[in-house]
Amino acid sequence: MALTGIQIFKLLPKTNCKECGVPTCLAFAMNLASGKAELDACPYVSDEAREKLSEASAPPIRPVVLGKGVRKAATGGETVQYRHEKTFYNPTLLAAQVGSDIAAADLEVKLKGWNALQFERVGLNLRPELVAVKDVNGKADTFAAVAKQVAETSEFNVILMTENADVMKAGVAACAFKRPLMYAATAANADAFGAIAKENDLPLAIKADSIDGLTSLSEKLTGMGLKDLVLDPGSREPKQCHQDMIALRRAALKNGNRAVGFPAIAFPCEMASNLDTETMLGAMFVAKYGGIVVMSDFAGESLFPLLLERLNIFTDPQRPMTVTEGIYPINNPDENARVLVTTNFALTYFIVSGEIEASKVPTWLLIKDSEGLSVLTAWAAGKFAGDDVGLFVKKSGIADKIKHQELVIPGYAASIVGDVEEELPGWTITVGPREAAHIPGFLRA
Amino acid sequence: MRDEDVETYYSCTLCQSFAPSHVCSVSPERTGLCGAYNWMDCKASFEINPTGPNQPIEKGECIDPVMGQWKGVNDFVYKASRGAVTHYNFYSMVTDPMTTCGCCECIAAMLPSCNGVMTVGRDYAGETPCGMKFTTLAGVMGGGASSPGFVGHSKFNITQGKFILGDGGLLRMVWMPKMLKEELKERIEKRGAAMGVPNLYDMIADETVGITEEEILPFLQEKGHPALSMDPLIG
Ligand code: SF4
Ligand code: SF4
Repeated sequence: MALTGIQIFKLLPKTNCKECGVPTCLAFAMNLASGKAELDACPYVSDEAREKLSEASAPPIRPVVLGKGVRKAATGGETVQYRHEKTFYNPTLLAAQVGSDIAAADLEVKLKGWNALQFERVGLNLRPELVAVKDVNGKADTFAAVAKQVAETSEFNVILMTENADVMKAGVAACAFKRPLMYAATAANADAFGAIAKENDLPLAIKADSIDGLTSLSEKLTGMGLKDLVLDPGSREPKQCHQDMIALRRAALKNGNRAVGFPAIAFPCEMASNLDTETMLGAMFVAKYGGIVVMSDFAGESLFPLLLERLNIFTDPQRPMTVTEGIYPINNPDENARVLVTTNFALTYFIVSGEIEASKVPTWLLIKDSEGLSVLTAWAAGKFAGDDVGLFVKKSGIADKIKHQELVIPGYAASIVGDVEEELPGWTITVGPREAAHIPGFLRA
Repeated sequence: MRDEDVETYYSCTLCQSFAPSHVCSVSPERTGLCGAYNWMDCKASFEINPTGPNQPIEKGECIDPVMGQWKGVNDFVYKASRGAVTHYNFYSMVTDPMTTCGCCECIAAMLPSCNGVMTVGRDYAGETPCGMKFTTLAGVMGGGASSPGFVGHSKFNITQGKFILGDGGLLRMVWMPKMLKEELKERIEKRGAAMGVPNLYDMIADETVGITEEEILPFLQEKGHPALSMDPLIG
């Protein structure tokens, strides 16, 4: 039975000194209880408390931070098996692979192409994080050169893939400043790889031929003082790998097995012969516990669905998705274009803006903050009532962009018409369609 | 109407869609924590839709009259949470409190150094003396878990007769956001008087007094807040 926040709290110093990064011992206790903090963050825990708290002293799956710069990201840190139990925290990191024999000019083209793959959605920039550099010929200098080029000329962070310690050393020397992931320590090279990782304070992936093999390797490496590990159970057959991913997650969460309490890495690029099948497998690992997923390439049509899937899987199901309040111009509206207003629930926004786009009619779309509720719910909860909609329209500044004074409100909120009119004297308030699907017809009429 | 007056409470499992182990038990003196369902609403809802989210719960044998625990409720909750929750208390936030989903109107949290509790509504976005804002609190204790030391509840519940009565009731309340406090002013005064402390309203600190336990403690001492002389909140 996991300790509750209150049980943990009783063992803490109760001084609220804030050194752990949160304002009170109670808040720290709650973070420990929910697997979001490490006991080591509090410098004042007594030895006695430490012993009693050992079970709750660290997250069951350690969050491992990879890279530096704008694409730096953490993987792992998950606390539940199923998303609906709470939420998943750290989105699967996506990598594409290059061989160490790639010519500098070709790599430049590739990096440029991959860098251009960025998509805007719900106010977020969706993009991949990593490039995996794979040693294909055992040549340390070319490996290092490719790693260096990726690290220095792109925003991407790096996975260094070789099992040869000399090659790895050269790669690390070339890009250690970007905190690359070393892949991979095996039973054969664990001592040397462990030493390199420790010396450079880098995250290290370990590869074995089974989960049992992983356990002993991981115990050995944590024994050497390493903390940031990533697990590869070695399976390359999709069904087996899928099973391994689930088994790893279960063992860490349900059985509290610390040896496998690390994020996992999966390699669709080694499981399929074409990018389509790879993408399908990648999608499986985004959903089922791949902390890092390595593809052979990124193409718009392969990457975009993965990014969207990732966004969906890793958003908090207990918090409605929202878009920012404001004015959204669609189809280049001018001063005569119509003005529609709706709520800031992400789904509402997507559907409504999508229909407006499809109509090709230039339109101003006003999004009012309704705490992420859809039209009918927001109306019922008083978050899309007449006076606040009117007030929002006034403050939004839309009046300066248009020459007319007509506002279209959603059909489901028809009953607020009078109140909006009162708040916006001189405006014509038109009740629009109830269903978004009827918006194009409405706008064209 | 009081809890003692009825033999049947009602469940609400509407929130299981996103907090799978959460089961609200609604009694006359404990409205659903979202503030949208009171006992009457649940009763009506059951009569309209007998297979819906509001089911009658026979209280059954009383296990603990102070904390508010009944065998019939425990059995129901165990089944409705599919084994995740074995039992809970209606009238305590410290000892095995009711589960909390994400949509509670307010979250009460204990303030150990003040020997009292605070509560914060979702409209108040600032810091609170427990060291967590509303959203942080909802994040660490929501989701269908029973988290001792914390409980989600409706605004109305604060001044209902059984509000954390097992822990000392409303007299434990040492901090509330000003807006919430003012909204409930009359009812707090009335309930305080009924509990023998007519000026309770003036003794409850808010963000203008402070947002840490250290800041509000002198205020509570000066006012002679009843919580300070109660039994320790946590043993
Ligand atoms: S560092 Fe330790 S003593 Fe200080 S507030 Fe955090 S948990 Fe409490
Ligand atoms: S919070 Fe409200 S809607 Fe949700 S389960 Fe409880 S009473 Fe029902």
